[in-house]
Formats: sequence, C-alpha cells, structure tokens
Amino acid sequence: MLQALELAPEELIPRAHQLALKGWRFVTMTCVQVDSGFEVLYHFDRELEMEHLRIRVSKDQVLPSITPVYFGAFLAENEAQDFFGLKFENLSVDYEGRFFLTADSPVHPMTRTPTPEHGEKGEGTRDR
Amino acid sequence: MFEMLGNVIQNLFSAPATRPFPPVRREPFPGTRGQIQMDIECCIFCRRCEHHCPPDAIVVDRKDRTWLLDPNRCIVCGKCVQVCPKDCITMVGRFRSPAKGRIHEVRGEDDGREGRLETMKTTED
Amino acid sequence: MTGRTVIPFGPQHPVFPEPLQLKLVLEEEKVVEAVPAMGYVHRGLEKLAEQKDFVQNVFLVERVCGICSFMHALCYCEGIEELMGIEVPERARYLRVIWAELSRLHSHHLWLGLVADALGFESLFMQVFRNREIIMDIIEATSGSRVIMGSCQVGGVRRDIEPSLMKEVLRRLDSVRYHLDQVTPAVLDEYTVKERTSGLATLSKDQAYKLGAVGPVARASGISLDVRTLGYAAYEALDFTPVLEEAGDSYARIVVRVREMHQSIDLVRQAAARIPDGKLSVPIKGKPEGETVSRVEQPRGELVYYIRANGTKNLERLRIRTPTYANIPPLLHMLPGSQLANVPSVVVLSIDPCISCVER
Repeated sequence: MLQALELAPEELIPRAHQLALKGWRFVTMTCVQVDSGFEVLYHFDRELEMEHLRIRVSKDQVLPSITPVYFGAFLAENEAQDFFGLKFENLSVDYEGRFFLTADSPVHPMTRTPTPEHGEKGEGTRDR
Repeated sequence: MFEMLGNVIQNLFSAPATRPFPPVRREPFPGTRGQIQMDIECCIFCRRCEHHCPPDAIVVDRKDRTWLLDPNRCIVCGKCVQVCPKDCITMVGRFRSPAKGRIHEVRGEDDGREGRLETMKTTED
Repeated sequence: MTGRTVIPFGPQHPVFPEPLQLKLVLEEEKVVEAVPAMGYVHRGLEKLAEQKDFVQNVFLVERVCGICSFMHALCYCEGIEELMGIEVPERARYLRVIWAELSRLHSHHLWLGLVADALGFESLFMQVFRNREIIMDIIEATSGSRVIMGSCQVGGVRRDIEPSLMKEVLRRLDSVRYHLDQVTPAVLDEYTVKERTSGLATLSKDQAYKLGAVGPVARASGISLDVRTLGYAAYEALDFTPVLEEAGDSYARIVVRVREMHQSIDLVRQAAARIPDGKLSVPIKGKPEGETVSRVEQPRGELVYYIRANGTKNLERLRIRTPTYANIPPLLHMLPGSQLANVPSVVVLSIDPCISCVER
C-alpha cells in the first residue's frame, strides 16, 4: 500500500497550508469508491519526492476544497464532482456537474451504479 | 540576405520531398501492422485469440467451427498473431481499403468447407 | 468606460489541434478573463480500464493520446511491474528509452510545425513536417505503426530492433539532425518570431511553481523539474541534464523545446551505443495487488498514473493525470493581458495543449 497520511476532512486545509509553505506542489487528487463511501487521495511533490494524504468520506459528506490554497486543484475537484458525486465547498471555479459531462450524459458514471439518462440499464462495452 | 541563397538554389534543383501517390506507392516496411489475415484450414479452435483480443473483435465458435473477425473493432495490435499456437493468423503490411458498404459477405475460397471467414465488402471487391 | 465582449474561442479553430473552448472576456482586443469549457473528447477511458484485463489495458491506455501514446503505455507498464515485482530485462529497458525519445522528437516536431503555422510562418511548418516524416518512417520500421506503437507490454517489449535496423535508424537520425540544424536558426534567430513571442505570456518562477506547471512550461521559467532524472527505464545509465531557461515567456518555451529536440537525438545515440544483448520480456505470473504511483516524463511534462489493484485480473482504479491537465491553470493565468490575435499562437500553443489527454 502507498505510504499515505490518514486525515479527517477538517484537517485538510491546515495541512495543505503547511505543505504550501514548505514548498510542496500539488500533483493531483484521486477519488476511489469503496464500500463505505469514497476514499480521496491527494498527491503532492517536492523535488521528485512524493507525499500522499488519504481522507475517507461517506457518500453525502461535504469536503472542503483546497482551491483557496492550490488553485490548480480546481480541475481535479470538478472532475470528481462530475464523475463521483463528491461535494465540495468553497470551490473557486465551480462547474456544478457540467465540467466534462453534459445534460444528457449518465449521472455519476465512474461509480459502480451509474444512473443512465434514458432509464435503461447501462451495459459494458459489448454491443453485440 | 544572401544567407538564404544557398537554401533557395538547393530547393530549386533538388528532387521534390513528396512522392506522386497514388501512381507511386511506397512498399510497407517489414513488420508494419496493416491488417489481419487468417488461414482457416489450420485453425484448431482453441479460442486463445478470442481470449486475448483487447477490443473483443474475434468470435470463435467451436461447435460450428467458425472464426469471425469484426474489422470495425480490430485495432490491428497483433496480439492474436502473437498468441496463436499454430501460427494461422498473420499480419500483412498493406492496409485495408476503404469500405464501400456494410455488407457481410462470405469470402469465396472457403465456401463448401467447414470454416468461414466473414468480412466487409471493400473497394477492392 | 469600455464595454466588455465575450467571445467563445473554439472548440473548432483552424489552429488548435484539438477541441477546447475558451470563453474570453475582452475589453477592446485585450483579454481580461478566460473560462475554459471542456468535454468534447471525453471517452470514459478510466471506467473502461476497470472492465478490461490488466494486460489488455496497455492497448487501451496507448490510445488516450495519439502524440504521446508510447509514454502512456510505458507509465502503465512501469506501475504494474512495480506492483507485481517484475524485473524488466536490460535490453528491453534500453529499447523503451529509444522509443520514448523518438516519441518526444516527433511530438516536438509536430508542436513546432503547429506554432509556425499559427504564427503564419508557413515555410517553416512545411520543413519541420517534412523532417518529421523521416522520424515517422523510423518509428514505423522499428515498431510497426506510425503513431500508436504497440511495442510496450507488461514485462518488457514486444519487438526487437536488430543491429542492422539500428544502424539504419542512426543513419536516418543523422539526416534528421542535419535538417534540424538548418531549421534551428530560422526559428530561434528569426526577428519576427522573437518580436512576436518575447515578453509575452510570461510566467515567473514563483507563479509557475504555485500553479503546478510541469514540463517545458516549468523548465522555461527556471524550475528544474524533469522526471527522467528519477532514473526509470534505462535513464540512470544515460547522461543528460534538464534544459533550463530563465525568462519564462513564450520565446523561452520555444527555446527549451528546440534544445530538447537536440537532446533527444543525443539520447537515442547514447542508448543505441550502450544497448546490451538479452531477452526482450519476462513472462508474467499472478495478478497485481496494492496501490502505486508511477511517473514518466512525457513530451509535455510529468505524467502520473495511480493504479490500484485488488488481486483480480481487473484493476480497481486507474487514475491518469496528464501534463496538460496540470498546465491548464498556468494557461488561465497567462491569458489575461494578452491581445486577441496572440491567443492561439503565442499563448495557447506555447503550453503544447493535448486536450484528448486532459479529457481521456
């Protein structure tokens, strides 16, 4: 497993401020669906050394956005909002679910049970 | 200004950089991945190519002894060529011609026998 | 009191290679704000990767982007090999380096041709693309296909470059080098190019670091960030230093990429001289388990893959962060203050955008 520091959602912003002051840059944010909700990983880098933070949230929990500290994170957070339905507060550029997806796309497609728009059960890749 | 002169004279008197395609075509390099060809005679229907195909383009039926390749799904990666135990599947360098229509047709040389190869009607037919 | 106009720039534009919409807020030809709108080439590849076999995923990730396709396959294979503890043979590692540097060469040629076309310098565009054809021929002869190489697999490589073919490759690289040396003064010492790109779209070192810039965009602002120095594949045996410039403007990015082209040719020559004999790949046993992060230096910057596997043949999560994804915030910072006519050529193309990488 990755060496990741486990944090509670409230500790995220203070930790991000500390990392920004010490010269770490933001690499990306990953969201994985697990049985109890979501696991959100933040990856940082300084001089080719990486540090990871892991936060576990339930499905409807609201996460604080780190865009006030790292503006570059707005892409990854909007993507997680579109694909997984994660909710953020204080997002500086908020597309409200329309960043990559349109009005007639499936809802939350990366989760294990996406809701297709037209009411039919979505199949995998085989269309034979 | 005269720095360009050497280049200008070179461009005026040297051969063009392009070849007059379509009358003159370049031979494909050995090993170029163009299209898949299949010798149905030696197929033992082990279904290994079907298992390894990344886009699921090959469908093999052991009971009816058919081997079907959907040319629209095939990404010409060559995995089937790599895993076939009898080397029936080969990769040819020339690309498929553009298709004229979506007509599934049985290729002539195998009808009457047990194996069939289904393909698409192309501009070469 | 000047009024503001909102102009939708894109998604179809003759100069952009890929669809990206920028809503530009203008005050009389000067850009004041920019908001990107994306999603035109989203294909859901991360979801598809969870449904395919972990070995077949190599072919899937190659097709994320056409220009940088080999690096995606390389990064994915490095991640899976680290999870499963597979040791790739020496010869395969050197071959991977050769293909990676050829990939970088052809990508930078493509970029230079597009910038020349966007600036209106058509003859440079033609010369650079003609030079690129020689590289595409090399790639086709060694790997089987011009763009999507298909030569990397988990455990090694699929094809070999025999010594006779390697000699031919080096001979053609000499001709690439000769044409590149002719073209370089036409780009770097050209009065028009300098006037149009110097001092514009400037990113200071501090801003570039805070916004998360990677690749040539970061190196042109003085940040020494090159993931090749980590030493993956065979890079620890080759010697090179990251190309740095201090100015941080559009012209500095052009200089960095042109110097990287020369560096790539040197790296291919070094790798071809040191390549040992040996096996091409090792067989894979078992299934991957655990999570890992693997990184590779793509032509556009740092590519990061997060792979999570749970012991079955399907992966649990594959997350791809491409360098253009990280370079979009610096782009939004560079746009305010520039003239409308400079937006496609000087500003947007200077980060080398690959939107299909951003949207996978």
